Amino acid sequence: KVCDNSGAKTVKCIKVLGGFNKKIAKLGDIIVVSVQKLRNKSKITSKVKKGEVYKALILRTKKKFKTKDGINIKFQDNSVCLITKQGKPVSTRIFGPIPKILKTGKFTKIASLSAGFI
Amino acid sequence: ENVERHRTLKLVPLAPFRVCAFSSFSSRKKYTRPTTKMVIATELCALSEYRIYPGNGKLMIRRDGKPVFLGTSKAFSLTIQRKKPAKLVWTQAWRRLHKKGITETSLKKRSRRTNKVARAVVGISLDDIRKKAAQKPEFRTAQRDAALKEVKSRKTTAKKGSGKASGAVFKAKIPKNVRSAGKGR
Repeated sequence: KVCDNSGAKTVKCIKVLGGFNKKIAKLGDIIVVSVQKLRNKSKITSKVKKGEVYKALILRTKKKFKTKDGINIKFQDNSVCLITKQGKPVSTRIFGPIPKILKTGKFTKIASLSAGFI
Repeated sequence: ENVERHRTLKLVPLAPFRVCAFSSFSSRKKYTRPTTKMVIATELCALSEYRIYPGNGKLMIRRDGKPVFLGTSKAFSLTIQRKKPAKLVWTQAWRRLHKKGITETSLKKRSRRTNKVARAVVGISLDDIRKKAAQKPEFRTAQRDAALKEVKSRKTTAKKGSGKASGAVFKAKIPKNVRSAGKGR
């Protein structure tokens, strides 16, 4: 699922980035993705077309994610935010909460778009 | 229950822990290192309201973004089944509803007191009531006795004097047949 306003609704993972044999991507990883479905309202005005290949950052997973405090966080859905190949976000808004870990480091721009942190 | 919220590390200076080698056996003191205290922020479990220490439990985040802290897998599986904590006997929520624990004694101590308000009645006004209440009991008994005496004296005179009158009244009302019965009275 996509939780930003780029126009895409669902998205399919093609490749997991970060090593030659990496098979599993967790929260905070970047994956390569192709667009499957668009949102109904924005079929004309969306920035994204069906079948296009983008990179994506994983924002929320149903699978447990352990912070350094020792808290296991678990979200209700798997969702993703689209990124260009250079690393800049495609969209201008992100819906839903995001874990605090994405504040620091590479993804400060994306984190600044978000509504709330947990 | 108190929940500690501060995240500071308190360091206490270490005391010397080596004992003088030449001291006698009886006077040897045991030096223990004073323990350092670390104040940790603990959370409360959403279902059972037990404390969750770091490293335990799960943080479940709902679709609207609200976090739900759960301490044990027991609590977690029960929340997935949508069970209400007020219906589970072992939770603090149930205990509060059914008033188990310390709050029992505090409830008993309070007792309602009715305030008596002095009101005026149709026959007497408020001032007269108060005056009567203010009078001493001996005075009132004396009054009562005097009144009784008056009434008695009135009765005796009335009996003598108005015996005929009452009889005459009866004669007029009662028909001729029953006269004898009326006289007999």
